[in-house]
Amino acid sequence: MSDLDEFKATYFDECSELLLELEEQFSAIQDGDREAGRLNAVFRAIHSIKGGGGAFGFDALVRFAHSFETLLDYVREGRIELGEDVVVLCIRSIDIVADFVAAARSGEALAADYGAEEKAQFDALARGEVAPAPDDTAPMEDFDIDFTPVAVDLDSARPAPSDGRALWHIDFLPLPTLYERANDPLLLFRELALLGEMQVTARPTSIPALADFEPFGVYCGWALELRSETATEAAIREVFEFVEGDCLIDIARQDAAEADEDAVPSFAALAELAKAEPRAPRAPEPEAPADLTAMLADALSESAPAVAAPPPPSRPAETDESANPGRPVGMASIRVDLDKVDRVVNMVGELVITQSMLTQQMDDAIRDRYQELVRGLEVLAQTTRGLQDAVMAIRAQPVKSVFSRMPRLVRELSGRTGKKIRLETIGENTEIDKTVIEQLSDPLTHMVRNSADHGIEDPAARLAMGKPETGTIRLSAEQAGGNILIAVEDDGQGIDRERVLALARKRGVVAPDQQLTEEQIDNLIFAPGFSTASEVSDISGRGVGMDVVLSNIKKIGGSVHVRSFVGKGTRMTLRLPLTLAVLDVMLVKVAGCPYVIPLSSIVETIQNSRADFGTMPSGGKVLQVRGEYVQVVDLASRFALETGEEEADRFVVLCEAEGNSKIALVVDDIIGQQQVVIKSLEENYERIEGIAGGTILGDGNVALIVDVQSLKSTNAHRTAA
Amino acid sequence: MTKMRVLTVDDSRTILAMLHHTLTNAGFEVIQAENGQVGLDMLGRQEVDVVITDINMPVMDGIEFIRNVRATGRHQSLPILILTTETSQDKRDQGRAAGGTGWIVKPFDPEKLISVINKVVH
Repeated sequence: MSDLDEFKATYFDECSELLLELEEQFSAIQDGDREAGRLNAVFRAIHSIKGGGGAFGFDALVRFAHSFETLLDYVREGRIELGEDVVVLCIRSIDIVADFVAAARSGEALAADYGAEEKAQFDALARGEVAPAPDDTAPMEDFDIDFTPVAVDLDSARPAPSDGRALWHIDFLPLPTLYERANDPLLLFRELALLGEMQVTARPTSIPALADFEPFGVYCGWALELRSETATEAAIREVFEFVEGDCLIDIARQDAAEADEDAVPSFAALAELAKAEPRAPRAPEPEAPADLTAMLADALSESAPAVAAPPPPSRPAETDESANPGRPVGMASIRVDLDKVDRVVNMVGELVITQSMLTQQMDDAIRDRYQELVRGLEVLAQTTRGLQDAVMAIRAQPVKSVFSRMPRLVRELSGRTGKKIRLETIGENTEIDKTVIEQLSDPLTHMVRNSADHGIEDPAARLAMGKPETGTIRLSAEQAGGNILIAVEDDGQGIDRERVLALARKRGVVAPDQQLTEEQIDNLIFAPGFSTASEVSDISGRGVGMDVVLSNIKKIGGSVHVRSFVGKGTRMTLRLPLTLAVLDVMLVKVAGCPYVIPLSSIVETIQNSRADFGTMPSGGKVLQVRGEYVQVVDLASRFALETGEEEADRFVVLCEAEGNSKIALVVDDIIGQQQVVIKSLEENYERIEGIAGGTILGDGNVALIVDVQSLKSTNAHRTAA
Repeated sequence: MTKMRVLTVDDSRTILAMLHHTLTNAGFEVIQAENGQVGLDMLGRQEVDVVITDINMPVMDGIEFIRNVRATGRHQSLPILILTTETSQDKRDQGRAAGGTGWIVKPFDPEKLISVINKVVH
């Protein structure tokens, strides 16, 4: 990655955060919170987006952001009132900025007039009260030198000097403010000397007694003579750019022919100095006054502390941001590559395993003999667990990053359907592992779309039912035990169970005579094959249904549940693991080897002797559970292993794969439940059908993780073939 | 010779990264702060040769930061460059009034950035 790419990546990351901040602030502003800190925050955010965009030449983005920023600046200053229309315009413009950023990121070109309407509105608003905004949308210059010539260069009309080099007389007297701003005449002279050959003459004023020395007092001026071919007055003034107003300066050009003549200093002050102190023609370069005064200040501070004592540092003023809980004052953070964190997570995983291995090795004899060792191991166990939690916390991220994409979605849905929808978010600071967060966006988008599309009614229908015209979608996140619960609730019409059941029967998702509870019917919306493209509207569209939500969530070890109340609304809940690195599993044995099955996919376990097996006409074995026939896969024969176990002593583990489809796995023995750290097979060996990965058990043995989903699909494939 | 140490204060990670790149390439040691308050804390702990600060920042903005730095006795002669996209003169003037030594306008050209720093440090 080149440096520039890296900077761009940083910039785009930052833009995502800033856009998120903009969303949040404006959503609060829209709710009537007009606190000044919010306006400052939005201004800063747009300002930063513009600033970075300028650095990479994203001109369209910069132009739009500039107009947006100008408007916000006027609002901030109270020149434009922040009415409802302005807020709406701003919120729409955040989306446009987001699109510009996305386009810059992907390198796509947006329409040339993209955002032109909004930009025109900004400009019109800005013009409403002030003179037409200057068109400073042109690329900014690298250096913005606002140099205003103050002296007319009369000398330039004179004939050129004989050796081609003009002689410049510069009289320079610093003012105390020059030192107060940490400027240093010596550095200015050094800079000036780059332009040509220079002589410096010090012109000390009345130097006070040592005791009366002020650290930033001015006791010396300088006369400079610069011989240069190239120097112009502008170039000389540029050297003194930073001290403009902090010094008295006079610049005069003299032809080489007249160079020997004495220049007359134009400042009365300097003239007086000259009289008081005869000029030495070739005085050595003076000591830097800042250093000198600092030295004197040090020397003086002991004898006369009052002179050098600086004013006490004032306490930083309470700024409006200090109230912002998201950004505690002085919060320190570092950015770390995710790979590095993953490496730590992995090593901690190993440590946890080693630790539990050690603990398992401990028998009663050891316990009695080495009590110190046992105590040490107990402490080790505790510390290891603490370490594991701490490391997981590093990867945890607030769900905010996903939730923040929803307001825009709802706005768009609301605009397209003509429904009035308000989005509420609760618990957005709840933290989940980054890997889980990354997988969350699509399912959540789908669920919100579903709520807006099928849940919330038209305004007229809502009013007719005595509901408020505006529907509400509530997005919430909370931690419950080792899980995160994310719910999407709406106060819409609820699921039309008759219709769902009829459709499910028609599409063969449910057998014609199968009886279902209300809850089962509700959850049919996640069944594969339930929603079809023909039924999917413009919005929930893309030809995929809610079954995608379920399969995505299953992939990350979560589950989905829906509960609906007719006429009152629907609540969809996602249950997600806190992390993907650690998996809750059931440890089983097949042909003497340990295997683990993810707990999240297990429905129940049944002893073989009590299981109701049957045989399909094709010869395939099935298990009958509560009127349902489930395919049976014997893990021993599936993995081509010999089991010495009696059939009756074995167990069936009933598992659920994608889309509520089930599969019954036959194992030799069930050992228990535990947590394991997942190790990738692909990275260490190669992909194996039916195996999702490996793990190392407490006793140091390797166990393979059974991939329920792939067993189900390969088995279906075999049956079909 | 020990490296010159530059404190860069900006709430934009992009700008911080670009400054870091340019300055370390030019042989400076760079330390970073995301707002004025953090910058001030850093100055309290570490010796710095020059400061480059943004104006618009949360928690403590650049103006307040410069004012606070100048109020600290031992930093009265510390060069502080104001880094800003403000094309208008007033922010810069406020920065100078607070004690800013000079300024750099974003987006900055690496060579010019170094030359401006050389203009204010020994």
